[in-house]
Amino acid sequence: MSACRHNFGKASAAALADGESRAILDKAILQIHALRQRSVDAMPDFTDRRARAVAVRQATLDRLPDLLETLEASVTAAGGIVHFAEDASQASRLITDLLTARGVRLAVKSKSMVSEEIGLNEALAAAGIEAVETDLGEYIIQLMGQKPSHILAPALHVSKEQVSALFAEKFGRTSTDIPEMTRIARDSLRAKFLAADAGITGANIVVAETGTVMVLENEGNIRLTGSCPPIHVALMTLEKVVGSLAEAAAVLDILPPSATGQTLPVHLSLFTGARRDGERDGPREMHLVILDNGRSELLADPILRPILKCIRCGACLNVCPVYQSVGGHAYGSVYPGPMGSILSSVLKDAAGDARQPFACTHCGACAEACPAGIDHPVLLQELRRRQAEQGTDTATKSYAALARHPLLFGAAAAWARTVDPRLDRVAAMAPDGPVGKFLRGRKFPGLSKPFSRRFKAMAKRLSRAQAKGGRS
Amino acid sequence: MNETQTRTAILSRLRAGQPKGLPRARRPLSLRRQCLDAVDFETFAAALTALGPTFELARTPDAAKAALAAVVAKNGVKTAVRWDHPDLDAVDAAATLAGAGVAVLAPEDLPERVCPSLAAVDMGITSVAYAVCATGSLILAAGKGRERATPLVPRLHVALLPASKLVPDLPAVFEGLAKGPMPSAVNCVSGVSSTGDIEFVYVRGVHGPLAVHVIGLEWL
Amino acid sequence: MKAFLFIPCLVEHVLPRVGEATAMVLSRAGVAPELPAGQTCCGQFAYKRGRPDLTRPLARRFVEIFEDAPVIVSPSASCTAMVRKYPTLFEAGDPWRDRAARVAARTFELGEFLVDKLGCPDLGSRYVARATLHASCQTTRALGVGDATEMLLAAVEGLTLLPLAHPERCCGFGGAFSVDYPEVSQAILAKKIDDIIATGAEAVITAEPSCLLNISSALAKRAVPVKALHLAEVLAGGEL
Repeated sequence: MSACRHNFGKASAAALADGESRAILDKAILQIHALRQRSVDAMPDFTDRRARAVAVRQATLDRLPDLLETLEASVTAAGGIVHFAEDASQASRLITDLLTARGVRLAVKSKSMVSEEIGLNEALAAAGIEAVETDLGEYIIQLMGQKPSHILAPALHVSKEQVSALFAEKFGRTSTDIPEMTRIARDSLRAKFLAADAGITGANIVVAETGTVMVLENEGNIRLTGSCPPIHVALMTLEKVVGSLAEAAAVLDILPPSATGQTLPVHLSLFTGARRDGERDGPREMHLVILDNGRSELLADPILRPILKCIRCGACLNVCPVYQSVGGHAYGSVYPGPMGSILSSVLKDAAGDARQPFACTHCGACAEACPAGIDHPVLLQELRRRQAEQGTDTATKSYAALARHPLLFGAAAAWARTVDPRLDRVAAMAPDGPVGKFLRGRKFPGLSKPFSRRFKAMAKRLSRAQAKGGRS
Repeated sequence: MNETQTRTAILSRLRAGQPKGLPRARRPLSLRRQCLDAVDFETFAAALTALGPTFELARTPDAAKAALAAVVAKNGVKTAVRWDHPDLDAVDAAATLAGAGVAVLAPEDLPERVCPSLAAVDMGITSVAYAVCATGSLILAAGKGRERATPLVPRLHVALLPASKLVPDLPAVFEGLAKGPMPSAVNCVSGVSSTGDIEFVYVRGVHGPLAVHVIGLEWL
Repeated sequence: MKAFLFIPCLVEHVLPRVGEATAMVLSRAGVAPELPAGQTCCGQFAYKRGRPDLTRPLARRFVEIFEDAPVIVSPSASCTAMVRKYPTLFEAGDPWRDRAARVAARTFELGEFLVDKLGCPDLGSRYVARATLHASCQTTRALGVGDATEMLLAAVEGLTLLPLAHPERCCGFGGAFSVDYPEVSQAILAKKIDDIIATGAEAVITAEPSCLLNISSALAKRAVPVKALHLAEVLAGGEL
């Protein structure tokens, strides 16, 4: 990771200045948000579904080490191999070594935020293994040399004209028709699926009792990735586990509706271990990599622990006014939006701005939308507290000090009222200072004669109103 | 640290960090949602066809054979790959296809790398483990003679669906799966693959089969 | 019946008319408003900046000032929500925790007080305008009293409420957020102003002073002839 930390303020201002990307983003986010809302509204039992899913996610946290041991035993019994990884570098080294030892040259990959978290593509490239992203959006992003901007729709910010130009450059074949562009990508990726030596997938839900890795998608690229190559590596973070298939069903009741507004996506694949005796296809080797990267420490944290209930549906991103405005890249971290502002603050070697928890209006839309019952504002507030403990915020300190003394507080307001009631002078002195920037889009109404000095003069009017309107 | 040490370190941190307090009630959580959907071909077909695939109900084995021959003719199928499955035998699938001039690959004909070998094959024909009425989903379970690639790589997937395989919803599928050992792969397929990754424009037919046809077997 | 007015610092120094309207509305509902001396700031600003330590002394001051109040009413949901969090600032066993809890239990947002406590959703108010409602996040989500605002406005004679697009969206203020991330704050605010203009309303109403300040100052900057009003001003009607 870079020694120079990301600055959300600068990155978000730059994102806002890019009118073209913003227009695409605006449209796409409103659409994904509307899809989710429509599907949730159409489910009369959504509240019950949510309650069951919240209970299942809580039950995972209550018995996490037991579940992981059960999972390990089940996967092993089904012919799979389980690996634990402490952090990003250990996980990517583990996978790279494993594939190198087996002579893998080409690996197909399905979209996995965890693989982004551990920087897997970079590690594979360094080891001379070609890793091809197979989700259409992710493939576009990879060809462009960018990073995803949304955890579900990574190329949300790219226009069809940009894709068209990209395909012309990379494949010598293009179109401006979106279905035709999709066919071009299909042809190019199909060759990769059929030739790949290994397939790497993430995991949406993992079932301890059966050792089953569940993945959800619409395109079919994950199904191909887990079915065709002779080696399958599935990458999960340790909190993705649930106890039973029935518990998984409860999570599935809310995950697709909250993510894409679907009852079920086109493909739900359940991979359990490696191919069995007598089977002619499916991977001969199946590896399940379980990543910690700071999560086990999070379990011990009574206030922040609930973020481990997150099922990565993206609902909190789509409703967040900040995310809606600036998009995913401004966060400079794998996980953007409300859940990302929390996760990036607590995961090991997470990139992003350390002050990210402050970039929130506390509107609470995230908590309202979250199907896993996470109260993001409470967690963000706690992260602010931990940050502030170390900082020296003189403005807040002085304001709080003034507020302890009503006479001083009143005098300060009176002084400001006389000297600079509309804050024009402050803004003129430092146009790029906080007040100057605040006033770029606003005209401050000005400090007035305080209410407390007007109240006494109201006495007669108030008693008249009381006599007239007072109820018997 | 080696892998064993890592495993031990992670698990012991998790044990130390588990939420404290009284042990929670062991009473199993009631997870089953109420199921309101009818279990019949009509409900299934309505959900299925809304997602893109086509459906035909056959009331007799002869009707099923005719339906299969018609699909082959309509789609210009020259080559096919099939599963070994009693439901296919019930409609003489291999013979029916051969009779229609289709070269049929049986599981035992398949080479070491199955997927590439099916790249140019027109059709894959399978049965299903279950079919979900609420969502029009086909549940395909891998096994000996039931290759994952058969319903996945060819451009057309034809699934035979006996009436006895219809279930109301996905939890019912999971209840069924929980009774036996889990197959190495179970695929729940609802419609034809799709994407919205370019400017959120919905496109059908990304990977896998571009068309899916289901023949309902009413007598089975 | 008496009610102590809990006047947010923003209302005291920038939006005193909201305080006046609140006093008037309470009187019209048969409640005598009193203004205890010594109020400054509830500490929300420091709290949201991650400084509960700086908030604690302000919470103690608040408890001392309002401890004897039969009921405490504020024209701000966010400040009311802050007071409701006061008990969590003190450890279990600290006597301040119980004192804060008693005060918090008697503190209400204006609309919440009128509808839920007084059972008085119709004050016989009259305000002739075509207006739209900005349902502030602090009123609806943080405090959960958005229904009260809507019931009160529905009963106002002469008031036509026009639906606002994306009513669930924040206006982008967020206290210190608006100064820390001015570009983002103003981008969110600009969308809200566009939505307000699109309704064709002559006025926008909100029950939250911070949203009111944010929205009215943006309307003023863009010289849009839409009035920004607090719920209390509408309920007070032409009687100010």
